[in-house]
Amino acid sequence: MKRKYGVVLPVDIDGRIYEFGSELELDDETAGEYSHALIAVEEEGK
Amino acid sequence: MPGTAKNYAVANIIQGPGKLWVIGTPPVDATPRLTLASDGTPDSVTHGTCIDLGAIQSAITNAVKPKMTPIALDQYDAPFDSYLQEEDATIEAELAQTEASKLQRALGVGAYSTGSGYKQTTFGGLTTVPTACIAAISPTRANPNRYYVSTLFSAASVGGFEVSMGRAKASAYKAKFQGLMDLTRTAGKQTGIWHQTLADAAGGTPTAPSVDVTEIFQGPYDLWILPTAPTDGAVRVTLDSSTLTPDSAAHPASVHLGLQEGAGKFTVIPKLTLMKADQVTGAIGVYISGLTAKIEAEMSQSSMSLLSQMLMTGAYTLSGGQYDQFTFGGGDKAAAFCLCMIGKKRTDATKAVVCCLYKVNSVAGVDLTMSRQKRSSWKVEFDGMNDITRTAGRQMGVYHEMI
Repeated sequence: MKRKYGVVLPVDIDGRIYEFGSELELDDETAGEYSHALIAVEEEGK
Repeated sequence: MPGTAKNYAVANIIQGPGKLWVIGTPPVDATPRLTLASDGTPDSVTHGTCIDLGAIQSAITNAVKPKMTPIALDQYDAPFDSYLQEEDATIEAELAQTEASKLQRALGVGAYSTGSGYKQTTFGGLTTVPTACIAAISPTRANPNRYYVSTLFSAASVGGFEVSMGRAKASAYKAKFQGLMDLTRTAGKQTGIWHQTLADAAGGTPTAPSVDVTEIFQGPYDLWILPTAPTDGAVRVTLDSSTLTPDSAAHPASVHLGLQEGAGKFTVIPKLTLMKADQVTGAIGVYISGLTAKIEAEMSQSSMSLLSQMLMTGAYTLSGGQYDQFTFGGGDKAAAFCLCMIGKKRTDATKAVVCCLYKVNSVAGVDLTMSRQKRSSWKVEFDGMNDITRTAGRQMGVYHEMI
């Protein structure tokens, strides 16, 4: 299952760079590899 | 008449090491102190995912520096008052772990990536400067269960990083975090807080520290010119797995630059512009106005071809075993090239650490010393440039390591 994360340090995932302040959806395993650079975003209603 | 008691308090003399943390969820305005767990680490329930920046090579320095403007009159020989013009808050430390995500943290404007067998940080072309809450925590000398805590609610990394490759000294880099004012907070506590706990830490949910001495780099390196640089799609230097030298298929005709004296240095330093406003005393925003990346080394070998290549403006000729020469004066600058330092991990010589700049100029010139007392060696310096044909975030270079 994918979850939404906020980028707190820039990450390069699958060749695309996500800068500070952007959001992306990732599966748990990938998010774990970039855990120092991401923060989980709580979605409304969840 | 009775006198007044003196305030000799030896317990207030501070000495002792600390740890540096990135705080996931900063303390709120109403309770601005960092909540500690029983082991003195940030409480992970209150502060979310916090990250230990690892081994510290030397002291952590916390500073708040006001800039006072004196108000003077011509009739008097000294100012009669002063006004606070600026207030600058920083946390600095020399970090010891040379690891891609920690280097990225020190740089701020670098992009981290990892995959099978590698970790990397690329740089060049990013525009948004990351900010985070930074805290330093140190046990008190009198009671290791009580702590001094310095917190910047929002800070930008301004120091960049350095990777030094050499036998004589382990690599370390000075990280510096510049505090920014958070105008949503109450005036008087908009930038940060220092506090001392007066009761033993108890309860809470500790955050795991992450000191890993295997990430401390020390050891020699080799310097290579890569006529074929890594591409925008394959940003790392492709290495031969057994020799850890540039793969001759991916990087044909790579040139090894021979022997060097002492350590080689790879530095990447952002130049940040702090945004200020007259209503407030500190920086309220930050933007990247420049990025400097360079490789420095001291060369031992002085062949004419090498000297010519390093001068960049010379013209090299090798003539049938008769002479080897380079001429200079009146030539045009040669094309820039890709340069990399390749070292091996201290704790695993089968794994390489690579510092690469995709496009450099050699800017220090060349020297040839003729002396009975001293062998000829010469310092070279390569300034990284931006290859604007590449994707923003990886336009200048890459640090990568095998894992």
